[in-house]
Amino acid sequence: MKHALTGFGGACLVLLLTIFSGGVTPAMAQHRIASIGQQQERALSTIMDEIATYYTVSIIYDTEQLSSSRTRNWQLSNQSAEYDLNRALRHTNFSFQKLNATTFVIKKQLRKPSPNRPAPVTSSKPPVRTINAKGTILDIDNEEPLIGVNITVDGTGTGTVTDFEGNFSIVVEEGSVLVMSYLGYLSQEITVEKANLGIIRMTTNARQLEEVVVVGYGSQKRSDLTGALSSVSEREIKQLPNTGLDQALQGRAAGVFITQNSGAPGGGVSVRIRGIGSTLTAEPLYVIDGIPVVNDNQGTSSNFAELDGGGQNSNALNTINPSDIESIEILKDASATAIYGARAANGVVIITTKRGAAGRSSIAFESFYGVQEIAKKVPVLNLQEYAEYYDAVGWETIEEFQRPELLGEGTDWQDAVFRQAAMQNYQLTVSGGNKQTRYALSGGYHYKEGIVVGSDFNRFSTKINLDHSFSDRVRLGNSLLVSRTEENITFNSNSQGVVYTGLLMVPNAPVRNADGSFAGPQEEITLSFDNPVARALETNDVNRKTRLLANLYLEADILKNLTYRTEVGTDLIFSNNNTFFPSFSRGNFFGKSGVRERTSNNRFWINKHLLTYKQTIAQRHHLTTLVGFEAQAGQYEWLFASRENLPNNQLESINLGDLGQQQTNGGSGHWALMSWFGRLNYNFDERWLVTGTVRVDGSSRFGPNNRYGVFPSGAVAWRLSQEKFLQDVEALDNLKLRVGVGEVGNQEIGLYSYLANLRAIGVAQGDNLITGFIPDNIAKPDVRWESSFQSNIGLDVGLFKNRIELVADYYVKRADGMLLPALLPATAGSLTPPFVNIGEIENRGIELALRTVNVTGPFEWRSSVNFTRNRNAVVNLVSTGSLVGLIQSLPVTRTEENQPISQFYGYVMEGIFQSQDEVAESAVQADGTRAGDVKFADLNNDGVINEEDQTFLGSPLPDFTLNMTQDFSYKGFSLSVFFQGVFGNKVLNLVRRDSEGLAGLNNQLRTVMDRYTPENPSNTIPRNTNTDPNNNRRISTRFIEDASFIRLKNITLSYSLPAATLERIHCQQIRIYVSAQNLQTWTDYSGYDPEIGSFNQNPIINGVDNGRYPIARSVTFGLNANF
Amino acid sequence: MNTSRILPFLLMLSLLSLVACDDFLDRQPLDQLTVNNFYETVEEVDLALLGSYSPMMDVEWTGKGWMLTEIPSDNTLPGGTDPEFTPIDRFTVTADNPAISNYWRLHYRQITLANTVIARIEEMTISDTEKAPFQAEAQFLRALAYFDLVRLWGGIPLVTTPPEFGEDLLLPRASVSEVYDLIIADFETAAIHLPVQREGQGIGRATRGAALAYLSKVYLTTRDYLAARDAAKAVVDLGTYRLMTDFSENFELETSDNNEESIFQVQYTGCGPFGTGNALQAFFAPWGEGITKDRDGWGSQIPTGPVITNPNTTIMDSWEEGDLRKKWTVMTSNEHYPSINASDGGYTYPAGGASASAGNIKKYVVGSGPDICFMSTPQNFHLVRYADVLLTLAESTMEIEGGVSTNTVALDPFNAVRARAGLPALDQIDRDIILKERRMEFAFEGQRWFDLLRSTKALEIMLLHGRILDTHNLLFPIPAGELEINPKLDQTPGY
Repeated sequence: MKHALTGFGGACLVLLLTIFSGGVTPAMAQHRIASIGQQQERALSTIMDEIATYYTVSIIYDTEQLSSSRTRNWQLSNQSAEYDLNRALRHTNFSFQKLNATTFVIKKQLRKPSPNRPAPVTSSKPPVRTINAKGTILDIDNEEPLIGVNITVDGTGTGTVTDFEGNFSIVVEEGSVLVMSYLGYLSQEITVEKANLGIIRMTTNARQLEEVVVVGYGSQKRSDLTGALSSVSEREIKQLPNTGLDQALQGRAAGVFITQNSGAPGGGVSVRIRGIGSTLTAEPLYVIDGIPVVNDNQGTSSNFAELDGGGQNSNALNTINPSDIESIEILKDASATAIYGARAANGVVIITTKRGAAGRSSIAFESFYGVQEIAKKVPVLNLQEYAEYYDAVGWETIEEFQRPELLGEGTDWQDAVFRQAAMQNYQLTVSGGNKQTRYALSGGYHYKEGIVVGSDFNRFSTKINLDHSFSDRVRLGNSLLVSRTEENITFNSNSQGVVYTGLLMVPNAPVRNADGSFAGPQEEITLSFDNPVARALETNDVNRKTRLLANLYLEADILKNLTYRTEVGTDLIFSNNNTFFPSFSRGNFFGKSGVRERTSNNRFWINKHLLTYKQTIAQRHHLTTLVGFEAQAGQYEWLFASRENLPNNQLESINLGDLGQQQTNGGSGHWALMSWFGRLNYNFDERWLVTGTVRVDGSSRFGPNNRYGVFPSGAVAWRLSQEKFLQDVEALDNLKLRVGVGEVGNQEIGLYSYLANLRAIGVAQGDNLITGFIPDNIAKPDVRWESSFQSNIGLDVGLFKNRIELVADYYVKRADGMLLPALLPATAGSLTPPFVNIGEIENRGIELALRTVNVTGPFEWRSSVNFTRNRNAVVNLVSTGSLVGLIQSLPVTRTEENQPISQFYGYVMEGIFQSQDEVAESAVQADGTRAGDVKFADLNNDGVINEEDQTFLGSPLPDFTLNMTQDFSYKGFSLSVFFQGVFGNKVLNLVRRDSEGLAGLNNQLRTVMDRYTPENPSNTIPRNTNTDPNNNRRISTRFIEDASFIRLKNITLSYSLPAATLERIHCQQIRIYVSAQNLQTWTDYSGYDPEIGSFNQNPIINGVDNGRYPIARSVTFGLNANF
Repeated sequence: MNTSRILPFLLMLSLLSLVACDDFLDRQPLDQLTVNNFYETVEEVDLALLGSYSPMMDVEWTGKGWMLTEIPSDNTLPGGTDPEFTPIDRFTVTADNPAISNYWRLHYRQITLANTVIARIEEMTISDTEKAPFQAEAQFLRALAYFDLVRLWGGIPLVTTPPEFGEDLLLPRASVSEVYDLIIADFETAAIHLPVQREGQGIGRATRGAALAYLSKVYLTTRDYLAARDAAKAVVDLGTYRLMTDFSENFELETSDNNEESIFQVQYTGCGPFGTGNALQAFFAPWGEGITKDRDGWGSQIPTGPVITNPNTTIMDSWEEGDLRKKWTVMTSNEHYPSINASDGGYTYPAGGASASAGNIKKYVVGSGPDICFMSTPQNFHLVRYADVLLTLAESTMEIEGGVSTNTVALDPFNAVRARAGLPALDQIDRDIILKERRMEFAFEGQRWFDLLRSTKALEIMLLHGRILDTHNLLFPIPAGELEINPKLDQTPGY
């Protein structure tokens, strides 16, 4: 790893180098002189330290090279840095290059370092023209100049390095080849044919081994990792105009399956790392700048949709501005996650926000503006077709329907429900600092309209991250994220929802009356739902959240190798959900006005103490030991109030409602976790790596007899590529085998389930409602966390200077002691049953991540592909037998032993009865079964179609996922194309129960025009019937669809202004781009969108399309500028 | 800062962190009482008892549960294809019928709540005399639930202790007589220790009269007519009850709740949280008549679904001329109800009727108003009225005398009920006469099916109603889910 040492003057360089080195604070060495003997043999790196410190300059060198080179009898001269450097390097094969007054680069000695001097003639051929070639070298990604790039003339050994601005000049013969090399970047060659070589962009080594990644409670060199970990870079996060950071992870990492449960702006997401390992919650633990956050989407992001029997909760993580994020690391296997113990069973996502670096102040402005629209409309009957359908159904005659040909198209309700929606984002980041104090401040505004009318989301966010060095031994700093979000929610994911009823509303009903008021369907057409546009626009459901996430740290080097760090953090969320529904009367529908308000207040604090000890013994044994203690506690309160019958619909304040009809409720709770943990990393000779972790968690969620849990893990990695026998294999840069095992836990079972609690219940006495108390649950004092045994075997391969990198993992996750509610008879009183550790569930899978650099040079092409295949099996549900997933009281999924979790369950459709004779010959279905009804399979051959003929109809979980990114760049242009592929998953299209149900007056899909009639003997679409005596609409294969899809998730074309232009306008970087999201989806799914996700993150209800808010297709235009 | 200053600081921090971690992790609920810190004072037990009344308020008990005790009978006619009620009416009911499993569930819930209170009171340190009325009230609630269950299912699991994890919670059916032994013991204890009258907020809770009235009904069912007569007589002798002057007073909102005729009612308040109001209006009121000022009741054909229930034609034709109860039991052509939506000048039932039987159930239909919501009216639901006690007294006396009576001990209470209905006195009564009188008096109050069950004439009467029954139809199947969980339970024979 390249390492920077800075004195006070070299601040600017540090900026770049710290970014480059992954944000690791450069080591400081101001007071070490006194402790170092003067006559001994010392490593050059130590000497560089001293020079840098003494003269307060920055020295850039390669740690590995300089710490293994030694020199004797050197001491500080007190003359100048140059003087001392000269003396120190005199008898070594290193030389230095002065970049500016306070910055030096140490490099391996070339035969004759001679910047700006004619190269010696190296051939006896007649002299050719020499050229003073000049150029500027920039990083291809951020357009920052690269300092200290080695430029050698191929075949001569002469060369130069770039200066602070990335410029170089060298006198060479015409036609010579310059080789540019820089640590962490791919080497590049250029043939000199003219003097001005212009801008040369160098590409980072896609996943450099030296990269530092954040792991639990620390960071590690990627090459030292023993566990399974995926990183998502800032660049990838930025590419999509996402509202939430979890959305940004979609498709980016192998083994991480993310679905947007709702396409609403700010809508819910479910993140499944290596499958579903629990029936309680399968969401990972997030650690945002050291603060653990569980995205349970329950207490903090409720909306009232759920009170109405459905609807997707919004997303608790959308309070975090994705633009503030520097990197996201996803810890996948137990050896990586075990340090998070009782909360790590579903994986851990570590989020690090941007921090300041010493150097020139940088001002970055980012903005985008976009337009979104629905990607696809579902074809439904127009008015003419509907009139024909209506008459065929045979309800009360409607005069104007008698001559359908005279009717027009009618109302297109999809056009009314969906709209073109705008989104915009602005972000200003100021960062910089000096050696002592570094800062990163940002302010952002994000606004996203929903494509469904009446929905939108906005967020104001600010971030203040500071780091300060008191001395070279004591450092202090903070992270502070504050945001305010406001979400307008429309009621969805429910058969009364706007998207669902938008398909069903009859085309003869106008959206509005002539006077502008909302219209209802005419009286004759009785529907069980109201005008969806009116519902979306009249009901005002707003969810406001204010969140403060702060962490303060103090770090001190107690001894040379021993560092102490303490952190105090907090997460405060204040949320307010306010719903107003006006009084209305239209068609058959009328209702009184009402206001519901819910406020909640969540408080969390955490305190950590960490000691890290690093030691190298005999140069080959590297030990890093971490011991830590952590205490954390959370508390919440909520308050609910409602009133009805406001005097008018103008004002929406609760105080205006009818006093007599008010309701209130509230609650509170608290929890605590106290933990001790330790980790030992042992690195033998860079060849063998061993990691051992143990965490002890004490959790308030469990009773005194079972309060503490121990979570151990261990892993070994063998870097074969470091072995002598592979040293000669030129092509092989990295080959590492990793094996790890461990146990982790899941404690998300509610707060007090080990106690026998009482519940307040209103009981009428006289005219009053009095609160009585009844037992709420059957206590199980011994309940303990779910534990999950996980093992992982992985292989990392790097070939051809890491131009091809492959990471492959195979894992087995087995949760035994999965918490399930005990199944008790109703004779036990129907109290909330105790959770018992009885279930077993297993996930096993393969992950592959491949990154390649296909073409380098002015035109560059890089690819990245990831593949995941996970197999889930519920091994044991013991007495529970099966778990049934219900949506609006309708059983839709079943989870049973020896089957994958949450499969669809129901009947098998064999076809349509073509004649009454066929009905008579087949198994008995129902009294009124007629020709044209759906014929269901008699699976048990008992001649009757009943519950026993139900079976598993398919899994909502994919067989495999395959995601692919292709990046191209040429000069200032770059093009990125990102495909997301999900294969083998099924969706239960519940919308079609009504939209193709042929059993009501609601509008139907156009497919019903091909329904069964004696003249049109369809074998797929049944007859129409008012009463549906055969229950054609029961859950069956009829509504199960293959939802595999390939999606062009993102395509971005960007252009960065050339350096010369930038210099004129005093900008460091200007990048403009146009980007399209979800441009095209290839799928057989007939609904709006095949990506359905899970219902309110419920692990046992996945892939049920109940009028889910579809994901938008959008185009954004963006501008990023750095000053 | 140097090492010597940091180290003590560190030591201090780490010491602090180790102190009292058990205290730190002991987070007792903030918004929930727990069993450990409740049931300690008399007031707390009183609140626990109050909570034990909650299951019977549930719409699945008195609302849809009502269906189990009226729909099988000859009083009602559900229309269409309601998946819960039509099979009950047609006797095609299966073990997975939700109305049945909900009724079962709520009754055992009440039993569990009562058992919990009984067990906790045992552990209290107050004197036995102080304990007695609380124990008695819990036992009353328990017996009430078992009495419903045993009549509809026969022998059932007999649970008498609160559920504890680790104990065997899977129980087989007890015999019918074992269940009745517990019911009788509970009601007898209740009759001794419950107060004769309740005051203030306690009005509506179980009293001695309620326990005695239930006891008389239990004995009537077990054909212990002497004991039935004694218990009914004891209620009369309390002197605290009377027949309301007008039958309508029992069903007019203003006068029905906890009136002098009421012995025990399910208490309701209107428009509160779901389940705190009487939901029957929604089931009975005709559709499209604007009675409830909502989408209106399901007591007649509604465009989007089946009728829940109408009065059957046989009951419509059974009223004697001049029976004052008819108007307040069923709505018929042009009948005017000034108190339904009084602010709109009352309600007149349409000529020709709004249902298939040209009538709708009137009881518990009270219209709309400030405290009346669609599925939530404040009107209490009668479980036992004084008229019931009088007819029990008459019936038990008649049975003691061999099935026919001219004795004034039987005739006086019987004729009192008839007189109030505006009907002439009879000078001799028999089983059929009493059964008919009970039908007209208590129609749609959830009594008819129970009366048929104990009358020995169920099959005969149901045949007249067009239902050919087998004896197994007289009991319900045990809910399917229950059988699945509890292998010790046997399904009701015939299912």
